[in-house]
Amino acid sequence: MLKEVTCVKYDAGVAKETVHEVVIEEPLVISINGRHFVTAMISPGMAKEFVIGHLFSEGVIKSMKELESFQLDDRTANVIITHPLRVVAAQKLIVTGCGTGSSFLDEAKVPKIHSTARIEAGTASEGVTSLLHSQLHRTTGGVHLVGLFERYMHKYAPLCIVEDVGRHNALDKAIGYGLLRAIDFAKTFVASTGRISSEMALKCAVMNIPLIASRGATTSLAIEVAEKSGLCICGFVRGEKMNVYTHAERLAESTCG
Amino acid sequence: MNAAIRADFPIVKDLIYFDNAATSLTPEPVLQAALSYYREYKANVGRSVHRLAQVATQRYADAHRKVAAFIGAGGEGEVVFTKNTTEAINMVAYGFPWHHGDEVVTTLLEHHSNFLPWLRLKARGVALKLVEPTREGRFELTDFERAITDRTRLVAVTHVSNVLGTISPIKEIAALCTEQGGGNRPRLLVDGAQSVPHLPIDVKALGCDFLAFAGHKMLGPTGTGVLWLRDPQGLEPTFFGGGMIETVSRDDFTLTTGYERFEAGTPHIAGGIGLGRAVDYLKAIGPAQLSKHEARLTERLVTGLAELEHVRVYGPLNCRDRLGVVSFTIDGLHPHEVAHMLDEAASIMVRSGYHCCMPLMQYLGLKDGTVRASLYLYNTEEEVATFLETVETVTEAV
Repeated sequence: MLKEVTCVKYDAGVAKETVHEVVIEEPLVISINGRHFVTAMISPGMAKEFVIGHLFSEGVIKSMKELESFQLDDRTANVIITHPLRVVAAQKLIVTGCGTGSSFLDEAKVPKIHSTARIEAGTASEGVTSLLHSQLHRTTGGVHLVGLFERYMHKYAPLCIVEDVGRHNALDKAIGYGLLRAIDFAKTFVASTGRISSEMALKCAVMNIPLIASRGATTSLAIEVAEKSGLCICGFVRGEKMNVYTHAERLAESTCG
Repeated sequence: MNAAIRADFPIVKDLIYFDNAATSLTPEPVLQAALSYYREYKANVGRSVHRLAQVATQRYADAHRKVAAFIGAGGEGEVVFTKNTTEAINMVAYGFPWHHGDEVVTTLLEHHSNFLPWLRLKARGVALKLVEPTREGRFELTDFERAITDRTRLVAVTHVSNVLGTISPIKEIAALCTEQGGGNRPRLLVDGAQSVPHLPIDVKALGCDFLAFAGHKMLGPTGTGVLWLRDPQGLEPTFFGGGMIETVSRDDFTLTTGYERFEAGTPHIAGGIGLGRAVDYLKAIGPAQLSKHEARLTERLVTGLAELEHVRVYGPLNCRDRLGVVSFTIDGLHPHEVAHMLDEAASIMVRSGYHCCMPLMQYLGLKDGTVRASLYLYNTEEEVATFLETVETVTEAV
């Protein structure tokens, strides 16, 4: 995850050559049915989780049964999905074509979340806090963290905490991790250190994850996606404070009344 | 076995297929997998970079991995696709580093494919020692102990007899090979043609060095077989040509690693992919479930035949350590006549004759061979009952 590089440090006008650790970012080519699909810049590790999570959250496949073969060859992930000749195109499908309304979104194409889960605000907050203990995060400040928390009995426990140079990558890796274990995403929530963009919100909606909480901010389009899909967005989660932007009903009553 | 499985083998509606030791039937999903290669992504493997070649190469490699996992070899040794069991065994006979004076130990129970390749080595100064089974097809380990010497380089033995259905004590024979010790440990080749389709197999637990078996006897397409090698570096490839090298110059070449080393030329790609699908199919049923089903049918078949007058059953009547390969004769009838009558009377397909085991037939004094009924997962108790009734009718006609 880390690599030592030389750099020149400036301090009060004094330059000094020194060594510093940076996070590794490297390309991963995803090839689907023998055709180049995307080249992602990601942190090393969890390549299989990333690819599977990415294919799901981008709507390329909707079931693990559609994934017929996965082969990791150096920095290329060769994937075969059902029907070898199916043309695969990235489906950024939610933007409307009319352009006259106030909405950028085609509501019909935004996935709807089906989950009866209620999550206590304190639980979401603890989830975000637990991410900040990451050693890597403290060393370099150069990674994003995403935690996927799963309800077991009556409590939420971390299923995985993932670090990556990209917050979308980290979320895809966490999703892939869950998919490989066939978990029920309706009983999960996501905690993140990064900004909640529309893409982050959309990935949650596609996966039927009912709540995302982050230490960071959110965006107007993310809120729009969340409103239409049923996703609860909690931003600026710090200590006992947070801003709940959408679907506050997903928070347990005892904490949001 | 449930109706859904039989629905995958449409031909069983019209006849009773009891010739599974020769080759099994092939279920629809396997046919679809092979056809989908031809229809949707036919390309040569390991050569071109276009997308069809990439998909074909990946699926063909996946098939090797599936087969490796199926025999418990995940990550160990190499699974090589061959034409059949015969080719797999011959590859060992050709590629093994023989020296004049070496010895091979094999048995009188063997199929010709695990006999002739060794017999032929006599011309190269390699001696053949034969272990005799009992008339039931069982082995005494002490016979192997006596046969294996410090000159023995290879022990080649069948896992399950294709005539008598008996299961050989492979683990114990492997232990005897190890006891020879050091670098001179004889290598153990197991002919798994009759075992891999029917029994849970773990090459690590068996302790063999080579496992040869047939894809076409385990629901795969014909033209598919497998050689698993524990130490791929210890065997010279038999065939040389395209797809198996790293570099070639005017007067030298270096071999590649992996299964490609042993698969020169364009392989049976559709067959290999079909075999991978066959393994998925068997895995979904579960080897343990399959064994249980076959054991129940075998018991019924063996007991039923043994009760009939004028019928002689060969191999153990006790169904422990035996599989559903059942040989018998009817007094006064040639085995071919019996096979013909079973087909004519009740559309029952069985094998008759020597079953590629002439030395065993001579040893058992069966000059015309036997009739052989062999079972698989799609066979039913009703079919066994029909078979027994028909055999009884045939005996009454004598």
